[in-house]
Amino acid sequence: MIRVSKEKTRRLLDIHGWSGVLLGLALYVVVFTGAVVVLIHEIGEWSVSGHSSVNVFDEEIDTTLETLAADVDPQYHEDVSLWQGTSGQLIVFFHKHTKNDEGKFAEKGVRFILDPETMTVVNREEGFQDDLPEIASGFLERFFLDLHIRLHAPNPIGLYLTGLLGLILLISAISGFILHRHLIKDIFLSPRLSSRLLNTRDRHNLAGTWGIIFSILLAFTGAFFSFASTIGLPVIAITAFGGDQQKAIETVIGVPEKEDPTPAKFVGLDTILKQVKQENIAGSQPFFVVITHLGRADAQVLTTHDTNEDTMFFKQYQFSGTSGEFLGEKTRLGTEPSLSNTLNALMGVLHFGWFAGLLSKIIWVLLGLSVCYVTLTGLQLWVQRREQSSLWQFLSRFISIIGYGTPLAMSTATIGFLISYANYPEQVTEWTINGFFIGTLASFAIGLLIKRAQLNVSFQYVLGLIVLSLPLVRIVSSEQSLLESFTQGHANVVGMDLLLMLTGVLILLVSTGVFQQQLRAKSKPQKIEEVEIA
Amino acid sequence: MVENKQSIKNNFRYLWSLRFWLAGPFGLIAAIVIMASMSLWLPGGRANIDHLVIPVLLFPLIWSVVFFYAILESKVGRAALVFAVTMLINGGLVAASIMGWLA
Repeated sequence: MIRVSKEKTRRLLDIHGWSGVLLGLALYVVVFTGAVVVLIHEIGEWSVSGHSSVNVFDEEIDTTLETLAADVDPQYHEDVSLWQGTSGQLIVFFHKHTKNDEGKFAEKGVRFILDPETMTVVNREEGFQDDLPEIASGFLERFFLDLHIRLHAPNPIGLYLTGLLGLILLISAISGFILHRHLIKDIFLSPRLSSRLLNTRDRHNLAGTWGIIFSILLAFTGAFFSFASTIGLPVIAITAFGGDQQKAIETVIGVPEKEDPTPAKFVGLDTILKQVKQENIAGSQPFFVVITHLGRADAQVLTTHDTNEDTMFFKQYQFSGTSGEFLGEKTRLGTEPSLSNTLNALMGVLHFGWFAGLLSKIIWVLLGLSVCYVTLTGLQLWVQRREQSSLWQFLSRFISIIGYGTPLAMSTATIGFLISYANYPEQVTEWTINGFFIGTLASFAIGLLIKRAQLNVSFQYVLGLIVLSLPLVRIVSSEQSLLESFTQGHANVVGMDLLLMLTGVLILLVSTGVFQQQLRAKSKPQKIEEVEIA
Repeated sequence: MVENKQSIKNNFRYLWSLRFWLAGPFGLIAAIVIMASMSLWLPGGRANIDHLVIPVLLFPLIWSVVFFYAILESKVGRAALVFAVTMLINGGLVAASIMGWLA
């Protein structure tokens, strides 16, 4: 599309190729897990076989909240967060913001987990939020999210890593866009079957063409999310706040400067939750509530609401904590509407694809998978062009190991979670992690021990069977059949079960080679062409 | 053996290229400095936070512009000059802010 000189083309090709070769597999892991994470709430609900039908913010919770508040040190009344966990439990976290052992600001307090139906406390923990034990029901969600956000590396290294991978994707996509000579034509490209190399190149170009805008969008927003807190905030804090990061955060988020520590009675959450559900305010139940300065004259309540037909952005509404008066909509950033607030909200919408409900999420999953496909076919192309090199041929095994190994390890982690959640909920962390390692080890064993000609088919066979087993493991471990899930109204559980069954069957069908045979039968014999560079 | 050595040397030829350093480490530093200086001259907007948030939002874009400029500029000497001037202006602004001269 863009005409560049031969020398610049060569330079761009080198960058496009080497950036992919050096970090392509790590990029694949981040993009693949990202495609899965788009459906994380659906996966979370499926993993616990559907959450409680009780919406805790529909219930009267003032008495419970008063009892809990009396049970914690008043210093933790600085902030109180309330949300409903994956299985429907009400989680209440009384906390303050204080420096941890590393000298960084963190949330410290008391976390309660309550049964949503009886409102009785099932668990009480105290300490820094990062040190508190995992909430069993939400661990699979958390595990997949952490894999995508920071590859389970400690912070900030993990965020630097994924940010760097975002920039690599940006380089690859932009250089691919500049190098691509037939961008429009390739949308309708039919991959040639005359040679393996041409076929791989055509598949790479076809998937790349469809996903190019999405890749740029994904890379840009992803790099922003990784670098905003690790590079952006510290740099801005140095230039504009003399290095005070806490002040920079408070200014950007929009914390009111005036404080009034005079003791005052809290108006209660029930009246506020009734108000916010009215059509002239949010018209919906919140999914997250924060009370700031509980028991003080400057107490406020902030409710956060999901996207709906009217808006693709999360909305927040503010109320006085002493009178219950509605104070207006609260912007995510700053205290007034601004360009940066809108742009910041757009970043989330575009990265996670939640702007049109399930439909946009499905499109985002498919586009994410197409980026994975582009990454893998690009790597295949690289090694196929170096067929004479034994080193590259050995390294090519890692394309299959990581390509199939990532979904395989995620599936075995899921099996570990499902079994432990049903039988030993206090051990979900260990079982999920062990499951992931078993899947990883199995992938390396298959990848390194099986003959190259049988490698992909073996992986497809194993992966297909494991994916197919996931709904069965869920049904057996939870003792809740598909029909029961359906009658109880757990649409996400039924949908995920069917999707996994379909995916497993599809992978097994691919392993039989039936699709390739059909394609070969349909295609006319083609003359083997000279391989062009681009 | 000689061919292998030649091939390895060929693969690492970029380390001796000014363009490699401009697009790589210097490019990253330049993008960070541009982002930092933007917070000093961008208008704050109605909520007085635009100058703090927009540079962070644009960081991946700033970095990719810097990177592709270093790659696609025909004359690497000119690219080095543009980098030096950019660093001087933006870095000067950041340094002045840290020293408190802009207050």
